[in-house]
Amino acid sequence: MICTVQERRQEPNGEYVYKVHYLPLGLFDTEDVIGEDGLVNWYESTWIPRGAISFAEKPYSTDIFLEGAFRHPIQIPDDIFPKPWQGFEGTLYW
Amino acid sequence: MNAEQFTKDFKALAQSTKLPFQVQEELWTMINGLPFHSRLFNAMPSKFDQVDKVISEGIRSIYQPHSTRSVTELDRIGRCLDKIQPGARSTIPQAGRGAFATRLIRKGEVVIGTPLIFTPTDDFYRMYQGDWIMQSAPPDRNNLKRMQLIINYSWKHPESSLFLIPYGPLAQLINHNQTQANVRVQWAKHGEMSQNHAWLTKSPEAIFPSATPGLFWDFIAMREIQPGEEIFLDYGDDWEKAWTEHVKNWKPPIDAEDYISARQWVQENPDAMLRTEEEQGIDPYPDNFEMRCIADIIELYTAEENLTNDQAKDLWHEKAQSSEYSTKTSSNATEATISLSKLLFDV
Repeated sequence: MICTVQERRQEPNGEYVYKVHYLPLGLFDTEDVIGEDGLVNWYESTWIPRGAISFAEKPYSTDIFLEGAFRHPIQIPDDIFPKPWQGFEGTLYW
Repeated sequence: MNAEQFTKDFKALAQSTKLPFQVQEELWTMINGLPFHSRLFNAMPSKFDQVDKVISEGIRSIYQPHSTRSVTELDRIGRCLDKIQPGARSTIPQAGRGAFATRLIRKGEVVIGTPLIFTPTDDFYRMYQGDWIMQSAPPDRNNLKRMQLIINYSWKHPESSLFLIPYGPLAQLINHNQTQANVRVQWAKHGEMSQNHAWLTKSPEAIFPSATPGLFWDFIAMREIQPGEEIFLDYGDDWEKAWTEHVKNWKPPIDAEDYISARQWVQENPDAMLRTEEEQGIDPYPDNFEMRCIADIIELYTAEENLTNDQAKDLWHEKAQSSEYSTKTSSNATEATISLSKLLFDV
């Protein structure tokens, strides 16, 4: 789940532990995540070890989502495209 | 609510209200005949005499026999999934993964097959400007940002707005090569793999409401294919032209040299000290990074304040063994338990 490190502390054994703000899993409804003030309702953790925290790619941040990235469907060959489907133009919902 | 639960609830209600058997049957038939398409209705047993079997043996008992075929029948109408396999690197530079023959494939043989779903327009692919993550506001329909990546795996004919989308395994790995294509697509024989030739004789509007599959493609070897050889398909002249144009005009982003994926950074810096949100104000992580925390570890530490690392390990081990945890993680229980336990023990 998404989190941000708020505090860091070094333990006597030299390892670091962290306090994070996080969004619990299962909060998919906007009203659970965004408060009345329009700010994100973060939850606060206690001290947690380094192994509980990692990084992932931010959604839509990899090169396949770059502006101008290649998009094109594969062409259905003429000889197998059914005649009754030719000329069909569907309606957009939007 | 799923079909099995619905069936159980129906029977319980019928019994508690002491509905006569015949009325129960008529009611069940009526519900089955409702003109609504839904996954639940589609999965419900169609005959009333199947209801007791669903209650005693589960919904799978109704459908499992339909999914079991004799070897003879499989030989006759089935499709092999092991004639090709994924390869991490296509022989085409920068094409990513590819499909490779696992054995000698004769000319005219079916290399792989796939069922298809359809969508009437490109509506489904459109991504408008909006808050896609938090969905705090509706997308701006006047600002089309891009098409979903799946459009590159979808098929279309220039004379129609209709798209066909293969959803079987492996076929999507077949790369384009106009000069070395060794497979082509054709409709499966009528009746094989749910292929319904009647659909090819009707207007698309007539097939859209169908809740069952009816389209299946075979990828046919155009010549003998050697073991280990990459499978190629001709994506068509329009595709070739669009790709050539794209390559000619493509300019990488100005900061492309500095890009590092989060995955690579994590592999190279597994124990790096992490910067706080405040520190990141001065020294931020790359824009493409998103910090993630492992929910179970946070829950465990939050629930047990003043927990030492050793105590946490013991508690975690205990929790991982419990049936409560196994249920929570469903089919991935074993894998998740092992990986999360290992992760915590390594801390």
